[in-house]
Amino acid sequence: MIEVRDLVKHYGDVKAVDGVSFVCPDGQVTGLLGPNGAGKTTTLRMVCGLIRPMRGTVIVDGHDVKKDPQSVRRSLGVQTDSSGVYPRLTPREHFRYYGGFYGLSGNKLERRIDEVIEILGMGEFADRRAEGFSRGQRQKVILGRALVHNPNNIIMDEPTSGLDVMAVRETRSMIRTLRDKGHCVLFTTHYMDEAAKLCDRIAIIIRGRIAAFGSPKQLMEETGRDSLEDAFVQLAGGEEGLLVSGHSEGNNNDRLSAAGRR
Amino acid sequence: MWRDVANIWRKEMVTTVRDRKGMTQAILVPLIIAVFYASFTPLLNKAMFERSQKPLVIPAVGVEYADPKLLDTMHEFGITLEGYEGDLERAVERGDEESGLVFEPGFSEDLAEERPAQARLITNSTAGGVFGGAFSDSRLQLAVSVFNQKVAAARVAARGVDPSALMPVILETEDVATPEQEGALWASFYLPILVAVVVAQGGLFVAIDVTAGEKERGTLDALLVTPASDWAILLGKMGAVFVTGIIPLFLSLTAFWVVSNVMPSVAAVEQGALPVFVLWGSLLIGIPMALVMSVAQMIASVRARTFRDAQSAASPLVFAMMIPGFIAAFAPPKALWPCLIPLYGPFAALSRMTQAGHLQWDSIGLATLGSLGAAVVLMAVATSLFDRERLLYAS
Repeated sequence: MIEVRDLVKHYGDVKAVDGVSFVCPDGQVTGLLGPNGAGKTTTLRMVCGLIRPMRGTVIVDGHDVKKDPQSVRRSLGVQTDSSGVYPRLTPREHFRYYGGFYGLSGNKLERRIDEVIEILGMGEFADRRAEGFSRGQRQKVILGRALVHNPNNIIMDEPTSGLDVMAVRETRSMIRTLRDKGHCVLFTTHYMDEAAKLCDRIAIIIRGRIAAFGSPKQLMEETGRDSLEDAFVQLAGGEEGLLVSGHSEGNNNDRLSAAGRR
Repeated sequence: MWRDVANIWRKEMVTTVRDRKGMTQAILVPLIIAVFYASFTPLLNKAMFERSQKPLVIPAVGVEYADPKLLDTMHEFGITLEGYEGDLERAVERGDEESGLVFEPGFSEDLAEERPAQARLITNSTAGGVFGGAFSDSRLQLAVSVFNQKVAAARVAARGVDPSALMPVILETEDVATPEQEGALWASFYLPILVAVVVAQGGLFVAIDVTAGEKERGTLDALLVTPASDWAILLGKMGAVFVTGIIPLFLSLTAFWVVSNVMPSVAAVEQGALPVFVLWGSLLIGIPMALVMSVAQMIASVRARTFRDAQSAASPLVFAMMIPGFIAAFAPPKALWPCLIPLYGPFAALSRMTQAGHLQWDSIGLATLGSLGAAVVLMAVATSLFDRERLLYAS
């Protein structure tokens, strides 16, 4: 389980993240939605312990990211937003490398690598060097390296971005499978239909603050809209990108977090 | 932590070794430099020797006025004067001839009557390249000088004076240099420069690849979200830079030594073989230097965002290493204490050893101590720079 508590991160005058709180329970998919520059990636980086929050903290499976970032990282599997892989390593070697950081070795690691390769359908290219891989193949390598240690909590930053239809379907199916197996999945996306289909709960982040938090149905009901996209646009302040006045109040996060826990 | 260090080191080594282009460059360039340095002096000696032995034909205007004994002396020096008709000065100026002599009528008579007999040497020091006009001139001057000594000796002897009166000082030369010192003499100039170039360039490509390369490929985030500590990441990567830095050093020094021991037979002039202690001495001072350079290269490239940025940031390090190498090559120190100075000390130790003709453990020890001290300080700097948040947002 991931608990984000009142995270604040400012860069000079820019309030990248300004008091963000939400909870991602096990066995659920939590979506973090927001326009570009809203603070999604900064929030995720604070969850992973890559960025130190100015205020607030993140608790992952009982570990406080401020006090014990290494234990937090050990509890997480992170699919980063960049699609970079090592071109001179095969996917199997990628998984062996990343698995090694989590204390896996020998037969146990090799068995787990075989499992990941099978789950992700990478058999055909598991032992080919990654140079020249398609975007979809690279994305599988990135997903595989996040899953190789079978983490309880999985973070995905725009996992379907730039993928073709089949790869998108496979990735979405993978996210559902992870949820069904009881993992806590936190992911960001720009695709509203994807969020509506996959997410049990959604946190909408606007200008570094949580503008709304709840199930897709709750968000649509709250805004009186019949699609998540329309609800999102309204919560984002309409076409002008203005914050909904009620959500700009200081106690907004608490109210929405509480709503999300219902 | 050490398990993570080994994991990172192994991965960096595998990806480096698989980079055929980079590896070829990393190995070939130092080898070429080593072979060039090792063969340059012997080839230069060979060219000078051959030029000095080659028969020289000098065009001469008025050769019929020249004294036959002068012509005989010139023959002894492999110089033949050949009659020339035309504008000799112009021909030399154009570079058609390297040099030429002009004898005026009455030359032989002046000589016979013990008046100064004048001839004119027309020369173009640039004609014929480095081994051209200047070489012809010096051979001619030497032949004339010997002829003058012979004539002067004959003249004073004719007056009943001992010809040795013309040589008030006789300088006897006794070279006490050992064969090892002779063999290491020219290496004492080239080796510091070779070690500087190879150590500075050796692991540079890998240092950039494991830092800025990670950012450019988009793999840095994935590494930073692992539980590996900052130290483990830094040490693992630095280990790879260090190892890939000393491999070219070892290869280039071996090549230098092998070529240096083959070249004396090519040189055709007396030149001692390069003693093996020079190879060991260079390696012993070069390995700690490679460690210092690995850390410095990491520091220079760790905050760079792209490969090109890192190259720009790390380039000055090459000069930081080469300048002390050049100083030691041109002005080798006599005292022991300069060996302790980081960067300069190893070169000072190398110069002292090549001059001494044997390994000097005190020089090596001080140089190693200085290098390790510098590495520790730089390591502290590198650790302070290796901050995950700053790395992600470094520009």
